[in-house]
Amino acid sequence: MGLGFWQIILVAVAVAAAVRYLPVLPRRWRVLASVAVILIFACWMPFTVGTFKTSQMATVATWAIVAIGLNILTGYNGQISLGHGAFVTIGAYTAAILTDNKEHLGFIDASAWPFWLAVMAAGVVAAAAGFAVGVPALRLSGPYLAVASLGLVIALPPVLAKYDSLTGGRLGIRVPQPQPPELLSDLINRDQWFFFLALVTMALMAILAWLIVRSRWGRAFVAVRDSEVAAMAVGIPVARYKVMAFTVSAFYGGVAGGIFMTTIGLITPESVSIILSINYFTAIVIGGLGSIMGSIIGGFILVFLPDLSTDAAKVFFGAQQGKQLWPTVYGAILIGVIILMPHGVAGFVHRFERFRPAHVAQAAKGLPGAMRRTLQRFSWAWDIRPGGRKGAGKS
Amino acid sequence: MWIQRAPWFLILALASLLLIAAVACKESKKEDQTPSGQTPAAGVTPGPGVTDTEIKLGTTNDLAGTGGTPYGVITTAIQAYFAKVNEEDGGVCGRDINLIAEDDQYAPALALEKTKKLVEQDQVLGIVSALGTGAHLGAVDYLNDPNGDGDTADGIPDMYVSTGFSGWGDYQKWPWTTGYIPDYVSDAKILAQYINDSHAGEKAGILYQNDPFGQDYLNSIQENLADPGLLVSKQSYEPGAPDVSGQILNIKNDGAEVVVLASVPNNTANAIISANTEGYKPQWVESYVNATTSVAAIIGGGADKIADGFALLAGAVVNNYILDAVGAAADPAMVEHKRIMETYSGPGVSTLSVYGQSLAELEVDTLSRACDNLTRRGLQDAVESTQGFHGTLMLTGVDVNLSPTDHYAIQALQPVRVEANGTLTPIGDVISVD
Repeated sequence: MGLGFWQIILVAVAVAAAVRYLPVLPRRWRVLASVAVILIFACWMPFTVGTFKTSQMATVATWAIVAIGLNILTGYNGQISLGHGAFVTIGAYTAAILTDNKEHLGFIDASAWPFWLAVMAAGVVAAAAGFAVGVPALRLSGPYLAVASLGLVIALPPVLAKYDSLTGGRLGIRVPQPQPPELLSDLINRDQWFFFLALVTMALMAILAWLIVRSRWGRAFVAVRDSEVAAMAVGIPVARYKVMAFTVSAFYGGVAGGIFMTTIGLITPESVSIILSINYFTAIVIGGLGSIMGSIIGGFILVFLPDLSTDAAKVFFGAQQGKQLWPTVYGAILIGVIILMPHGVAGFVHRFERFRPAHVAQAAKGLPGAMRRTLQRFSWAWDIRPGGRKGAGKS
Repeated sequence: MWIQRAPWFLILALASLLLIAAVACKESKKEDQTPSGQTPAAGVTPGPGVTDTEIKLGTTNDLAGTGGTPYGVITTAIQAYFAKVNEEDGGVCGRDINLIAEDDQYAPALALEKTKKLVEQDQVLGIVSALGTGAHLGAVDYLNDPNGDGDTADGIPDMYVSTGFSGWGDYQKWPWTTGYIPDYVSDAKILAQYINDSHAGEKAGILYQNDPFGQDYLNSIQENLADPGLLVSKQSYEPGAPDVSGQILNIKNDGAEVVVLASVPNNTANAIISANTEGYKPQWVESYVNATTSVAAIIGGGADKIADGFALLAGAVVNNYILDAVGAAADPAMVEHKRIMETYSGPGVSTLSVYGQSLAELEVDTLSRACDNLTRRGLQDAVESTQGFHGTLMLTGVDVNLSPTDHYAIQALQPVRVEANGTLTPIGDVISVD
C-alpha cells in the first residue's frame, strides 16, 4: 500500500510541476510531459488506492467532462448556465433506455446497445436538446440566462416522472452494468474498468475541447464573449456561434451523463439534483473559467471538497458535530477561495507561472502599503458615521 | 497590479493550501490503518469490521440536511443509544459498537459512493438504517451483490432500512436487505380498515403525492375500502409542491367527509391549514410519515407554537407503532429514553429520536444473537431469525418477526387520534398485517 490517496495526488502534482517548470526538458516538451506524468499516475492509482477511491476518481473524471463542456459555454463563450444538470440527466436517460434490456422505442432499442455506442448517442441527444435551448437563449444574457437555464433543471424531473412507461417514473431505470472485457478480466475489476472508461473518455473530450478552443470556433467564441458588437463588426455570425457553444456544451453534458449512468447502474429524476447542477457552475468558477485544467480541477472540487470539508469540520467542531456542520466549512472554503483566487485555481497557477523570485523582494517592500490599502478598502465596513464612506477606498 | 497585493494573496493562499494538505495527510494516514487486530475468537473467524474490542457498522443519512430532510437526528439518536450500550452495558458480544455515519445528501449516487466507502475503506460488518427510498435505491444493488457478478453470496447485511417502500421486502431480488418501518401498503390497509369501521357509508377523498410513496397509498386504499365507490375524490400533487389548497378545495367540492392524506409533513400541514381557511372540517386520516410533533410544529409556525398546531390537528387519525413522544413522556421507557439522549449527546426527544432508539435496540438484539458467528453471513442469519422481539419503545402488541422469506420488520400498527394537547389516544387494538 505505502502511500495514501492524498499523498499520491501531492506527489503527482509535485512531479508534474517539476517537469513543467524546472529546466530538465526542452521547453516545448514540458507541458506535454507534465500531462503525461499526471496520466501515468492516474493509470497507476486504481491499483493502489482501493476500489472506493477508484470509483470516486471515476466520478471526478465524469464531472470533469461536464465541467469542460460548461467551461466552453461559460468560460470561452460567456453564457452562464446553471441548468447543465438537465443535459446530464437527458444523456443519462438516453443511455439507460438504450442499454437496458427492455424495449421502449420499438425498433431502436429492441436489443441492448453496447454501452459506448449508447454513450455517444447520449451526447448526440443532449446536443440536440442543447441546440433547442440555445436558440431561445439567444434572447437572454448574463443573469437572465442563468435564471432561465435553472428553469431547465427544475422543470425536467416532473416530466421524467410523468412519462413513466419510458422513464420508469420516480424509481428510474436500473441498467445491467458492463463487465470488463474478457481480455482484461483477470487484470482489472469492475471499478477499475469504470475508472478507465471515464478517464479515457475524459481525456478524449479534453483533447477535443483543446482542439475546439484553438480553432476558428474557439476564437469566435472568445470574440463573442469579449464583445458581441466587435465580433459582429469583424463579420462573426454571433447568433450562430452562441447556439453552437450551447450545443457543444450540452454534448459534453450528455456524454458525461451516459458515463455517470453506467458507473451507478441507475438513473432517477433526482439523481442530478438542482444543487448538483448549480455546483457544476461553482466548480468551474472555483477551478478556473476559460481553462481546461480548471475544469478538471472542478471535477476534483465536486467530489472531494465535501469530504475535505467534513474532515476540517471534525477538527473544528468534533467528530459528531462535524458531520452535521460540514456545509458551513464548505461554504467558508468557497468564499475564501473566490476572494483569494478570483480567477480560480487555474488562474492562480497561471499567475504563479509568471512569478519570479525578484517579485518576492519587491512584494515584501510593498507589504505595509498593501496592508494599509486593504484596510482602507474595507474601511466602510466598520466606519459607521453617516456618510463615512466618503474618501475611503480611493487610494 | 496583483504583485502589489501578492503578500496577502500568496500567504493566505499558501496557508489555506497547507491546511487542506495537513487535513488530507491526516485523513490518508487513517486510511492506511486497515483493520489489523483481527485475531480469531473462539470458533469462527470474525468477519470484516470485527476486532476483539469493536464491531464496526455503517449508516447513510441526510446528516446535514442539505437534501432537505429533517431526518439527520435519527442517526444521532442511534449513536447515542449505541454509546449507552457501550458505556453502561459493556457493549454487545463483549465489544463496543462503532457506528460510522456518512452524509449522502439524500442523493442516490452519493448514497452508493458513501456505502462503498463504508464497506471497502472502513470495512464495516454491515449497514444499518440506511435512509430514504430514492437514496437507498442507489446503494441496494451494490450491497446485495458488491462485485456485480450476479451471485449474491458475497453480500453485506443491509439491516432495517429507514424507508417504507414496499419493494424492500423482495427477498429474492435483495436477500441482504431488511425493512424496518411498516411498509406504506400495510399502513394504508389499516387506515382503510379504520374508515370501514368508524366511517361506514361516508364519502371519502384522498390527497396523495405523485410518486411511489403516494401511489402505494392510493392503490391500497382503493383495494381495501369496503365500498370503493365511496372514494369520490382523488387529488395528487408533485413532490416538493409548496401549495395544495387547490386540491383541498376540489376534495371539499366533491363532498368528501373523510380525507386520507398520503402526503409528507409540509404538504399535510398546508392541506390542514387551507381546509381550515375554507371552513372545511373533514375527518383527517394521515400516513404515518406525518410525525405528529413535526406536523403540529409546521402548522403552528415554529417549534414554540406547537400548541397552536395541535389545536388544528386535533381529531386527526394516524397509525402509530412506537411510544408517543408527547403523551407518553411519563412512561418509564420514555424517561429512560430522555436520559439516554441527554447523557450521550443525542437529539432532543421527538418522534424521530424515539424511532432512532427503537431501531437501535433491535440492532443490538440482532448483534447479541450473532456473537458466536460475527461474520456477515452470521449477522444476516441473526436478522432472519428474529422472533417476537419487542423493544422498550414499541407499543404493546408490536413485535418484530423475521424469516428468510419475510424481510418486513414492523408489521403491526395501532390507529390513534391526535388530541388538542398533543397526546395520542388509541382508538382500537394494534392491528397486525404480518
